[in-house]
Amino acid sequence: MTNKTRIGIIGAGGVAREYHLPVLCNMPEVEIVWIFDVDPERAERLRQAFARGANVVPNLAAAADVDVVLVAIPVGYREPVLKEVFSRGWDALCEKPFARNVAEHDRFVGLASAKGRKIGVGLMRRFYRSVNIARDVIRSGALGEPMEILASQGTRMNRTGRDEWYQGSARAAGGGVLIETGSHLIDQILMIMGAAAFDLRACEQSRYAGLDVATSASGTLTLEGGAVVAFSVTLSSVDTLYGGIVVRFKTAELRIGVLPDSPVTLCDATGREICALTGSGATFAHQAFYLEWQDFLRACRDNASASLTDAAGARLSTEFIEQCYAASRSAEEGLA
Amino acid sequence: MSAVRVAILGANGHVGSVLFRRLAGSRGVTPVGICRNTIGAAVVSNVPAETRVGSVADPEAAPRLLAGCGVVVHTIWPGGDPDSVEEQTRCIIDNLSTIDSLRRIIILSSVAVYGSCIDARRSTFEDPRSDTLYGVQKIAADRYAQRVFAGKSTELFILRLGHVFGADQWVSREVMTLSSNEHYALAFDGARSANAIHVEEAADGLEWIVNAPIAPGTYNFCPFPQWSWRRIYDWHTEVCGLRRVGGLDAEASAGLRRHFISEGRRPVVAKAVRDMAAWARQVPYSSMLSPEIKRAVRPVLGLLPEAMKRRLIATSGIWTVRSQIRALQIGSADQYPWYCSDEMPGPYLPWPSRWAEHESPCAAELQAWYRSTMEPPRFASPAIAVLTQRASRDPE
Repeated sequence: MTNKTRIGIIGAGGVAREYHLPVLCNMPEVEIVWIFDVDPERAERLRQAFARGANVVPNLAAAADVDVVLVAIPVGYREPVLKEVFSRGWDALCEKPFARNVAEHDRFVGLASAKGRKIGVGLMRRFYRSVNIARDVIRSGALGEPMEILASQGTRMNRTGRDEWYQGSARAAGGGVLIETGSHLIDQILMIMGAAAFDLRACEQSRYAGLDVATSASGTLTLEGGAVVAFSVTLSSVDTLYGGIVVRFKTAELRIGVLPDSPVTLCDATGREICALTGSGATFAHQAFYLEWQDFLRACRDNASASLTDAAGARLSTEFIEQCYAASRSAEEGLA
Repeated sequence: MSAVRVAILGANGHVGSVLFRRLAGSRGVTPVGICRNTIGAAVVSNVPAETRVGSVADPEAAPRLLAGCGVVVHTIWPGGDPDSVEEQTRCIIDNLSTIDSLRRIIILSSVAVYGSCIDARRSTFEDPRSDTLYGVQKIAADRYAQRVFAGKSTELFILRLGHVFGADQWVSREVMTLSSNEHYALAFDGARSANAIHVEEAADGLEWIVNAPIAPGTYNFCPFPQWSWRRIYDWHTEVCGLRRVGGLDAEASAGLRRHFISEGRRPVVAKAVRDMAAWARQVPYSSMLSPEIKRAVRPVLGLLPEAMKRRLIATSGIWTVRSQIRALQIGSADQYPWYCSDEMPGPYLPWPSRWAEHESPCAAELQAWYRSTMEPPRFASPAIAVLTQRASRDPE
């Protein structure tokens, strides 16, 4: 009898291959039992590379019971899979984006809780060192009250290096750059700032083939302490932009890059760098995935609710993204 | 007379996207942008010209993607592992060779075929030698295309494209990064030819060659006479308001060039051994070795002559300290071989320069791009939502 946590993999795409499996193979406390993908050859390639002791299963009904599954399939195809996962009594860690809208988010969380199971979301940037440092500094109040947040992330997709894939389908991906990249950046902003609510004042989207390829939004965040802070966020897959978050205070600013090893830089009010701040946390993407798995497995094992992977904690960012899409849809209807 | 239809393979790429936009405004040419997927196609969705989505490496898709085209500008370099790159590169050439309507094919090769630090005595136009996998694969791809099209009526042009600079191009990113390092100094004070080309000039040359009365064959592709690295650096730093980068003295520069040239000649196995030794020298053995191993090693050390033992321990300490000092990265800046290169040997594509008309808009574009990478934009729209459909050619 093994004491290892038994894991099933649903979805054998890039994020499973490049991140989750290499990390899980370095966790002696887990055992990968099976892999499922709509493309069995892709699942087999993953099995051969990382989990020779595992099976490739043709469907979930044929899969052996496990403790936890990784759900690494596009968000648009997720609901029936999650129903089956929870009906089997498994816990599920879902890749981001977690859900396309709040109703879906609540349904997913409800499906899990109805069966007494855990559902987590893989927002791995939450484990970055930079996020830890920025959150601690801002919440300490040492720099005073924040006045403004500016954030952006954009890569002009000159080189995708691949044929058509799920991100080219709004139905599968749930949208474009806002949900794909923004689910990370917006969650980082909300988490770092300790946001309790937001008020979206303006939103602008540029679309192609049903996908948003650029989104800008601005408004205010209400922080847990009650302070209200203005924000502006821009995401793009057609233009290269500064990748990071700038939090402005009366006499200083914090600059937080989006890469795992990005420093958190303390600057004066003119933006001149004073020093980089240090702290603990992931400085490589794989470290972040490792900490994410540790966090989720601990939550499952201890039946803990205070967890960074707890899907309920990502509801505000789902709501933010949904409101941006809703605003642009109403503009579209207005144009029509 | 109808306009010639020009397919741009890799129309969302760094060079392809600029060419696509250029040809869309060009008389006598009808561009067709070919992108591998929707995400890529979105990048050029505001270009007023037809875009087709699919892979020319796919023999079933290629005829549809290239239908009606008389000229192809092939700017693709596929991603993936080396075997996959070679296979896809060959598939693209094979598929192009089956399209009867093509009268001219222009393939972008690279300055990398001559090596990362060009030694024109050794790496010649006829027999280029590269020290990088990319360069070696480019040579193989060019030769494959020459073999496939030998004896065919289609005119084949292979252009060995120089290092590309301009907004969001890799050379400009490197210039900005190195310029911000106060310890960086330009080898030879930037006097050497850069083998570089602004992306708008590349578009000039490609636009010209679509219809130019010029013999097919292989050409180096950058302005001639060339820009020096000094001119390129000063243009960037002046436009973006950065400090002027200093120069490395002649003796140090010559030493660097000798180093890079000997590196280029070093066999792969020797490079691997050297890299492993360099890695081993950086390992902080004293902190990594367990007390048990240290205890086991001590009797062995005890057998050595005292002087040798002291020397071994001291050397280990010196290496450890050296790695720690290196990690501080004080007073240092990386140097790269292309700043010490000879000019690309052989004939250059002789297109008429239009840099004088490009310079001012290119400077403004560079400045805007540089600013966009340094600060998040501040978005404040008066309306709750404004939707911009990049939609006149939106496939949905």
